[in-house]
Amino acid sequence: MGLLKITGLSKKYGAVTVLDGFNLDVTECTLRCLLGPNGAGKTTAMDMITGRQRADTGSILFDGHEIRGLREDKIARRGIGRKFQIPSVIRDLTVQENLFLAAADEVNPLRNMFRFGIGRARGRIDYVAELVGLKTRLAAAAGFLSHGETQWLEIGIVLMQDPKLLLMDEPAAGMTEHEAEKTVEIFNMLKKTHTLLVVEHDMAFVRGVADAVTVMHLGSVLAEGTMAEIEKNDEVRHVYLGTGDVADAA
Amino acid sequence: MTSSNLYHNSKAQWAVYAVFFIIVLAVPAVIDDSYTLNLLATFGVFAMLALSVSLVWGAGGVLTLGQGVPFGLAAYCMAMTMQMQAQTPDSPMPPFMANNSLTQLPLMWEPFKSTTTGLLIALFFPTVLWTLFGGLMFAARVHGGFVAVMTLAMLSAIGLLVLDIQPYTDGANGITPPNALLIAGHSIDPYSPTAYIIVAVALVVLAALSKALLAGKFGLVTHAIRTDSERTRFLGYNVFLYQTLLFGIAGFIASIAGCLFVMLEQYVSPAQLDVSFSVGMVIWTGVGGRASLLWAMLGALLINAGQTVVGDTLLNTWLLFLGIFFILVVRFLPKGLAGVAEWLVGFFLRRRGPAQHQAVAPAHEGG
Ligand SMILES: Nc1ncnc2c1ncn2[C@@H]1O[C@H](COP(=O)(O)OP(=O)(O)OP(=O)(O)O)[C@@H](O)[C@H]1O
Ligand SMILES: [Mg+2]
Repeated sequence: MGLLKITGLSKKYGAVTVLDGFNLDVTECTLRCLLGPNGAGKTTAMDMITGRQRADTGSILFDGHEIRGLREDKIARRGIGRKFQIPSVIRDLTVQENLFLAAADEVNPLRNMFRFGIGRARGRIDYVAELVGLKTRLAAAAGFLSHGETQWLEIGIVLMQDPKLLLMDEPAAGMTEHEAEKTVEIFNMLKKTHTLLVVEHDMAFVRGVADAVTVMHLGSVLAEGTMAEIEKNDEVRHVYLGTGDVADAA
Repeated sequence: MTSSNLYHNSKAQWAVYAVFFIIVLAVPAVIDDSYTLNLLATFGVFAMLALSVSLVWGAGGVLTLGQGVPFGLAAYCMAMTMQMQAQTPDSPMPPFMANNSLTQLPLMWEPFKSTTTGLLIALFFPTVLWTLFGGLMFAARVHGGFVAVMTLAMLSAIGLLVLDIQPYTDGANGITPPNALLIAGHSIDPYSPTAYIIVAVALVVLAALSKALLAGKFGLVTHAIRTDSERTRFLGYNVFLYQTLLFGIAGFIASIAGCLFVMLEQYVSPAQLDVSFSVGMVIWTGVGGRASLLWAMLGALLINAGQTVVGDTLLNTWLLFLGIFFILVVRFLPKGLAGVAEWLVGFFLRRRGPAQHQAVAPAHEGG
């Protein structure tokens, strides 16, 4: 049984159907990539899982419990962390403050009134900063980071929460080749202990990390399998603008 | 906090606050004119209001135009308490009620017979009401300009209600308790150094607690909510609780200000619930610098001092000038006078701080 099990998820915006009976099963300690052309509904699927949008019908089981309809912060506290497609770090806080903010081990506002200084989050901040290569940038304002560094900070923020399931929406977008390679390493390390669902258009990146792949089209599943199987699938090739090669689609 | 600007250094900030606190507390040692002392104490009450607006607007990021609600309601409760202190078994009812053809003390006045009960109601009824109101707004995820509109609507409604129930509140005349506040047998003369010190200590304690509130993790989460409330939810924080709590704390501060105002003035009227008064608080805060608790308070002090110096004859000219100045501040100086101070400190003390070229980050705790 997977850690995340989505069945028959549908969502309409007015007359537009964005998700149409979408199914997904993510096994524990694996990395599944979610592919699909622009507008396929990948980000919307993540919106449903994290409670940002409400699905019309369907079920989202996380760790065996229905989480559909729960509030965003409750879902997050169940152990689902999310990196957004559009980086949303707090730009006028430092890297360290962004990471400390994400150390949401205590969310009670009354207790947080009496918490000063980084305290017991120190170790975890240093560990995560080291992991995403921002150890020397802790004191910099997040708004001054390069694009790749901002992506890493986003990833770091998700790691600070230490969620069971990590949702990563286009983590390598805008990264240099070198940066993307390093991110591949990080993800491959993470999947030994965490479960990941990754949306990415960069096929080299997907080949580097994916244990399994789901291809979406028009809000439902078009194909599922390993990356090798997916690349041979005619339907998938056709959907990707008929280029004949998934790799060109990005 | 990486900024090389000393203005953002947390220790330096506390030092400046300490100087401000000492000056506030030392005033009676220097000034013994009782009229001036009373006036300055009233300014202290206004500074408290600016402090509360700064918490909600500057730190929380939602503009409140209704801060007069907790202030005015607390002021009315306080005036009722003080009025009842003057009533005796022979004359159980405030005189204005008879003029409004009431024959016995209305039920809503009964609890104010006891000073303790009256004070508790004055402090907590407006706070609870304001917190609930904030909770309703934040639960519905109302934000931005809508909070301003809703708080304004609430203020207008309560102002009208108070005017409307003339037999209970004496309508536009307001309530003028005949005697100074009596606490445990001591009469607190509004013109005495004691009255000043009560206000000064309250201001210092509230300002220090507010500053500490924003310096900790609560302040960091508040900063995140102000910048991107949606993102903050996905980190696992219940944004509604943080917003409501901050709003309630600001309401509590405004309630304390309301009580102290009546202690000093022995008077309350619908003017305290007037829209222009609440807008005034926003102007003091904006001109001083909403992101800085200290500068918000200084804004209130400076503007009210200016208003007193200008005097009644030129009041309208002054208000016009103030309005224009506020527009200029909003347009060219969004951080208010605090922004000027930040720039000056950065300019003159630059070489003293460690040179860091990478980032000049505004700290999450304002100045
Ligand atoms: N709030 C909304 N209201 C109306 N339509 C929406 C809304 N959100 C998304 N959509 C539509 O839903 C479709 C799916 O969008 P989604 O962002 O999920 O695509 P995606 O697969 O993430 O694409 P991309 O690869 O470009 O990020 C798009 O056609 C989009 O226009
Ligand atoms: Mg997307």
